[in-house]
Amino acid sequence: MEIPVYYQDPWTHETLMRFRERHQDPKATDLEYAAAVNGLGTVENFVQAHSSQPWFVSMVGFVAGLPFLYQMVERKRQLQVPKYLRPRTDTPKLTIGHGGCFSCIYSVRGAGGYQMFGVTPMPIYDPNQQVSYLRDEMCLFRPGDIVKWKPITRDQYDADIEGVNENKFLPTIREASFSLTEFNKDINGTNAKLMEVLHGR
Amino acid sequence: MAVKILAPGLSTTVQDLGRPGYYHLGIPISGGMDRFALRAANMLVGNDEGAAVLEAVFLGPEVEFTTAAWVAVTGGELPPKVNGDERPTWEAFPVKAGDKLSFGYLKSGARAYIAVSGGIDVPLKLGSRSTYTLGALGGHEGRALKAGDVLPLGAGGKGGGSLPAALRRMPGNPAELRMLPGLYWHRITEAAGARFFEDTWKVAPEADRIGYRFKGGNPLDFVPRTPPFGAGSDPSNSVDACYPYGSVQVPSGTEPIVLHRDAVSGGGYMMVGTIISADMDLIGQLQPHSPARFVKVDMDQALAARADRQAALARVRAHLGR
Repeated sequence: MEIPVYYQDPWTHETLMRFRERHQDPKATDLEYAAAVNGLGTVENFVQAHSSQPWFVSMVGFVAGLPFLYQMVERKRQLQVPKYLRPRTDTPKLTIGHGGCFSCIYSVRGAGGYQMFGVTPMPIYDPNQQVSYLRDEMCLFRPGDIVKWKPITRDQYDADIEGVNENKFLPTIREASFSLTEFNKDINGTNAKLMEVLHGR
Repeated sequence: MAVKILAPGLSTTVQDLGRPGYYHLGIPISGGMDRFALRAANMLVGNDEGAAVLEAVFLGPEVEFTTAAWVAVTGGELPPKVNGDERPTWEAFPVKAGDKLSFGYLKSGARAYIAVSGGIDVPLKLGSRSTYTLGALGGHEGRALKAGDVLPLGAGGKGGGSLPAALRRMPGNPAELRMLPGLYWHRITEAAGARFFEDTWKVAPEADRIGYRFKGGNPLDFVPRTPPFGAGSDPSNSVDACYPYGSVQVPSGTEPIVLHRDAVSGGGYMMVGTIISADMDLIGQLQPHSPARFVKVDMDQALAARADRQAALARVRAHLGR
């Protein structure tokens, strides 16, 4: 599944500024802090590291339909960021979060302790089952799904939101088989094949 | 055949026995926090035990009936009034079309269950009428009730009878909550484990359908470790894992949180154990600042307690001839 992400969006930024006293580094943003603790220097480098390789849904939960995502790279390249010192009482809906080695997508607005990197325009939980791709299942994700983040601009985000509002937005989802043995033998090769399937090449 | 909400109280929701089967997707089991009281209320008005009722916390709603019905109020001692005249709790009473049901101040407990004959007939969502407010799912429009809401009633149900105090179940003072130590118990020191059960805790103000927080006991001392990959650096962190209903997590080792019917289903805090299912109803009746103790049990004791609770329900059914 390709999930569009508007990194450094104004909504998570407003929220993270509101809860700065609960953060390890009150003078930095969550992305600046995450880039620093992973030795990546800049936010751009961090976004590149976050979005260049796929992630594996290892668990669904916390709140309805929230995926826990495990990064499909060598252990030494996996991004690790501590959770907030004290959890926030608010997180925007559809925030891309990260705590420990897991990324997530907050399916609903609410409390949370993960660092906030951006938002996706794409609903992943619909209790009313009106969203075109959530008519059969309220929750998009199941364990075993593989996610690839696609960084998007504000203009693309706004266009996607318009599509969502008109119920015309369709996520890119392809079927692929995955073998842990093959992945462990050749991580880059396996990921490259998955990307070929995703992009129809 | 409906109930009109004139005033909603503090937080009144539609609940039944819950929505099991979707917790693996983060959709909690929901349902009444005190299911013993919920079942009893339904039995008193002649409903199926699992019919949907109103759960009111701390403050009662004010409602008007568009039809004659039987009503019963159980759980916390929240005195019902029909057109201003007081009625008993734990006893079925009739109402006529146009009657108004309101409530006096809560005298004990925390949650009242208001059953109406026929049951609250909101649509089933994933097999349940329970409200999960965080996920905007079930109940009436996925939320707590507001003034002006109109809730349809089902057909049938014939009330009658009352339950004497001996057949009710409410927490003691302090409440004794039996706990089975869990997978992460080895993470705290032996002395910390002993103190955890010796201390008297108090319900913190952060106590709702998601979880109940307790404070006032000694902080836990952890056994030193090198954090495993993916866990945080705080000694109370674990690699993110599933949280059972009733599990007791202790973030930073200070304030235990017991997850309840609208539980979050997973996260990164170690859990010292799980409150046994037989005692989860009691937590639903605890007000902030009420004292509580955790009592250590093993699996055999937990299963015996479950059988005791089933027997208590069987006595209620026998008493009411259901």
